[in-house]
Amino acid sequence: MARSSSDKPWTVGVLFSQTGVTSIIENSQLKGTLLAIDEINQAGGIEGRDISPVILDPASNVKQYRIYAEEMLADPELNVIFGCYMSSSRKEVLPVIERQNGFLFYPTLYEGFEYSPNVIYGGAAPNQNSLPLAIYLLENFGSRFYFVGSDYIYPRESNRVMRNIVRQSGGQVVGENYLSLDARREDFEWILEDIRRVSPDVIFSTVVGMGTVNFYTAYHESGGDGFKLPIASLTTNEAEVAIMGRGAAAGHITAAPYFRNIKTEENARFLGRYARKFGSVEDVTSCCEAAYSQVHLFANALRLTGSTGADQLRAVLRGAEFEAPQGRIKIDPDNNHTYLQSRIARLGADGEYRVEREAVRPIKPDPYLAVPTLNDWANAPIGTN
Amino acid sequence: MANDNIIRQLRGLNVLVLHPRDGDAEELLQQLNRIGCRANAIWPPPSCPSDPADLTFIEVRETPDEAITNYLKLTEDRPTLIGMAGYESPSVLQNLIDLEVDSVLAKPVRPYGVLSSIIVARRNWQQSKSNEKIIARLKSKIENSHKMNEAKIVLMKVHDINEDQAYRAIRQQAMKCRKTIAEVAQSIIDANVMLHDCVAKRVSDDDDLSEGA
Repeated sequence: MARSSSDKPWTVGVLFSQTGVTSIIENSQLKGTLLAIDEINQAGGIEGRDISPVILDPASNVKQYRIYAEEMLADPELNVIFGCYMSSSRKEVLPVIERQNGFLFYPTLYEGFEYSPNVIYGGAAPNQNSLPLAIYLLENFGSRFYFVGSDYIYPRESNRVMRNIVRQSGGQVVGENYLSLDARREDFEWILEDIRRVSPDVIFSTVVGMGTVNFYTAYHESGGDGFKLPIASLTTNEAEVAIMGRGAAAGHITAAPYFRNIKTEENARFLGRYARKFGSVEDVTSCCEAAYSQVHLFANALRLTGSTGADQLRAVLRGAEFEAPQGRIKIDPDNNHTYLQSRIARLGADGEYRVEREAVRPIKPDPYLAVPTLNDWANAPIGTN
Repeated sequence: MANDNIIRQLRGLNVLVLHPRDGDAEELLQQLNRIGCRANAIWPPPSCPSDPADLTFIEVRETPDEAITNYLKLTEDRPTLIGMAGYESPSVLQNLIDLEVDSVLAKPVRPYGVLSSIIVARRNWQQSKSNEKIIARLKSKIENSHKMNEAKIVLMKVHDINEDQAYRAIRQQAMKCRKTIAEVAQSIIDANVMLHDCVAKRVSDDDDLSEGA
């Protein structure tokens, strides 16, 4: 295809925090996004036009997401935004996107109970990660759960789901505490003391961002041992493990659609290109992989529509499939969420995740599942590695 | 935790949508499907209710729709009602009042808000159901206590006993006959009325006779 310099690029917004409390994970999402854009441009762009990202840093400040989204969509050439990690930031951006009939790709797991025709949800809903994790924990560790979370929407709603599952199986939640997003290591001390006193079977953490590193490190320093009493999480990831170090990470558990060391051809290619672009794959996470896949889904859709209009994109994205590093994924035409793999992995003494369980096929997203019953799991067969 | 139950039972709800098949009905059905309710749309409204729905969405316009009003009249157990209104003009508002909807879904329908309007409607509906039950129970309680008082007075007069003795007599009779206290009280009242009527009748008969003499 002939390319001329006069071809205007496709402008898209990229809205991830490069600084502040959630910058570790959002930087990894930013890199996944940029890698995919590079790949698409190197292969000749879409209709001979490059994708050109407008990158802004909301600095983990929830209100700033809204302001930047408004700024981005004020550009008549820009209608699509890739971004957001925390639910609170998505809730800020959503009204802006809907009012302007823009389009948001949200590459993050979240608590469910949302559907916007202007959003594609690329991360796991609770039926794809909370439910499998709860069952795994109940089977392997016991039924006395201790909840620790950051204080915002996602942890509270996520714990609500978890609490229902634990209660249904006859287990109990023996503690539940929330700390602010910028909690320091010493802020966790009283919780760790309470955990020692209560002696639960498992700790379920919905602490996010830098707090994760602080929490795991504080736990390790206070004598906590992941192989005896593990911390289970839906968000703790390779990038955070790299910062906290293998000592603090060992033995703990994460449920996610993707882990860096899974063996698929697409993953090997993805990691190879990631390493060439960024020098290392240390910070590749499931949210990074989701961000990467969403850009490719967008590009494939754009090839068909030739337009970034929300109505056109929506029509071709519904039911769209992509051979992602995690395996084949598909956008559910019913609810704009994504059929994803479901995996549960435990960190070894070497600081590497090892997948202990995985679903044999992608799980259909069910964002409005208020009260999961253990039977729901029967629909999602699980193999043991 | 009644509120918790409303959320818990969401997916078991049988939902009926009585609204012309347009974009609003389509958007609503899709969102109901996402939420996981069993939803059924029928238009025009059927002349006789077949499958009883737990929750019914109805179109509300300036003029009451006869088919919908008839349908609701024929439905035995009033379902939870959500009015779908596109205008907020006084006549539409009046229809919302007259149809006794439990909540409202504004048109054009957006996915946001459907869940909240269902939850609020279910809460209002449950509340009014339980209020009806409580009111019925209180009514019969008051009636029974009236009857009891009347029966006690009858016994106290006839047998020259005090109130406590009269109460115990009624209770004993109830236990002996395996009847409720209210039933025994009613029998005593009825018997008293009959005795009184007989006497009154004879007196008046006598009066007639004396007058004729």
